[in-house]
Amino acid sequence: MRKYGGKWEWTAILLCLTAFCLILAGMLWDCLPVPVIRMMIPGSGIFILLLTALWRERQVRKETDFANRICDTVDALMDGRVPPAYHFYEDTRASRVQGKLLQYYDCMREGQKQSEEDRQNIQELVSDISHQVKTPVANIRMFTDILQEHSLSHEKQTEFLEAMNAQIDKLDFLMQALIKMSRLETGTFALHMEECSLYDTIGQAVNAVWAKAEEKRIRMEVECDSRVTVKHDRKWTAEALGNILDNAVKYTPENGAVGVRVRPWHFYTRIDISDTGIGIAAEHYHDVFKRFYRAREVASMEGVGLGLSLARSIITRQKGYISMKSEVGKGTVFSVFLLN
Amino acid sequence: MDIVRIRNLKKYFGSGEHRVKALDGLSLSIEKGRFTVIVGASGSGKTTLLNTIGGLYRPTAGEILVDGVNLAELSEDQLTVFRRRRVGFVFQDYRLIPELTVRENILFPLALDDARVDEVFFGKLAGCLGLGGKLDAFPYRLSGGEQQCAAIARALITRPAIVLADEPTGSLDVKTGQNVMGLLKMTVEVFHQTLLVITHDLELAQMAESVVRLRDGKTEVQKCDLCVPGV
Repeated sequence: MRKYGGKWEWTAILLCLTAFCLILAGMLWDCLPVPVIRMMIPGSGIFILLLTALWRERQVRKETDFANRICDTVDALMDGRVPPAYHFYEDTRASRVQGKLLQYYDCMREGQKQSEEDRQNIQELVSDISHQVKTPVANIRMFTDILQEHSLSHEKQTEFLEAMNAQIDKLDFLMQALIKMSRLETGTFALHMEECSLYDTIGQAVNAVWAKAEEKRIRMEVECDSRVTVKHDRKWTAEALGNILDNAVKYTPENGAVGVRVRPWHFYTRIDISDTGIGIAAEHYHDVFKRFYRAREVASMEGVGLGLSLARSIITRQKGYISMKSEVGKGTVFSVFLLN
Repeated sequence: MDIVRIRNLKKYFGSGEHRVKALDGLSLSIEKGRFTVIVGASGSGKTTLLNTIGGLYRPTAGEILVDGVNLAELSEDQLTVFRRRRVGFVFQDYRLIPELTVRENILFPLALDDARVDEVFFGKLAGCLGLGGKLDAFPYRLSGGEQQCAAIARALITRPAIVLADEPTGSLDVKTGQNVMGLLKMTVEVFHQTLLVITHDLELAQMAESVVRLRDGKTEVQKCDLCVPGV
């Protein structure tokens, strides 16, 4: 619309100017005694007409050139080539639009790459699940075979059935954790973010590990103002904090201490979960958040290595983050930052 | 895909006896869309590297490709346009213009390029950085953290190829520094930006996806994974 409007606008101005010159020439023809001046009036009209036509022609050529450059750029991008007439960082309009088109193209490619990565993540998850499930299933099969093929005493049978039960519990725990993990990674659940008390959420997380801590005579201290509220998903955040606390209790020796401290900051609320446990060597800081990672020194202890990975996914989905500080033999502090 | 590729980069200052080798044969690559932190002792060449990637310094020798362009091949005018359109800078001392409001400060790079404001993007950006209610205020009315947030928004408003931050928390206390870094990290994630930060704070460095350590103008370690303090 703008283009046509502009074209007609200029044509109208041109016609008006020419008509004005011709009318002026007609009116003043007899009044002007000098023929040169008489001729100058229509002459100037024709001059203006020519000048405007030339100017218009130049404009049209520039617009065509601009359109051609943009079309060439789009054609090249569709073919996956670098645009032929792309002059990097020229201070021209064409260069600016070309730059934006390239940026858009990059965004599209990033999107494709992201989809590819997501697909790969799901594949890895499926492979991890099958790998983790193999051992308990094999154990259960072995116990079943023994029970079916051998006549065992009642005590022995009970012993094998208990062992089978333990394997089923492990399988159940594994499946629950993996379902949560896959839901997080594939984004197939919605977070229910609401401004609510952090004290209650922490309470929920602490309750889940309280019995274990009591059993090991671990002192648990929570320092949190009950008035602190943060926008978060209560259920999933309690799950994340519970996983970190569970790790803290698991790797802290008897008579140790586990603490939770909340500090509301300007943009974030910081939750420090500290323990007096075995600690983590600096070179493994990044490993502990990986799926199924188990440090060599804790391989004999119960666990599958999903807790921290799950916790990080949950916190990241809520636009928060987790950092940590640790000293081997002295303890670890995990800091969870929730966006206010 | 790498947004920055550097091969055997050298940057010397001065000449003869007074020559200082700030970068001496550094090679490095930075992946697009990642949050990378550069750590290193004072004088290891961190700021020189950042300024060279941002087109503020010309390298003495070596190759430096940013967003597919060899910076050494650009003229001064082209470098100016490159910085204006493709690089977002965040400085330690914010560098906001005191006579302009927060809104005007954020939109300043667009005004330089005579570009139109994408109000939707601007609104999202200001909201993300918690500046919604402060857009008409002058910088002196804002806290240090808020001023740095305005500086971050100014760096992102042109949707640059890379955001370069030189000690963005250096003028802030530890608490505000953590807050601002968290917001910076979140904002670049939301808008799918590439972020390169210089810091000496290893706790802050933990937020990054990859960490590069410089020593005497050379890359000592380049780790492309969740970061490791102590690197």
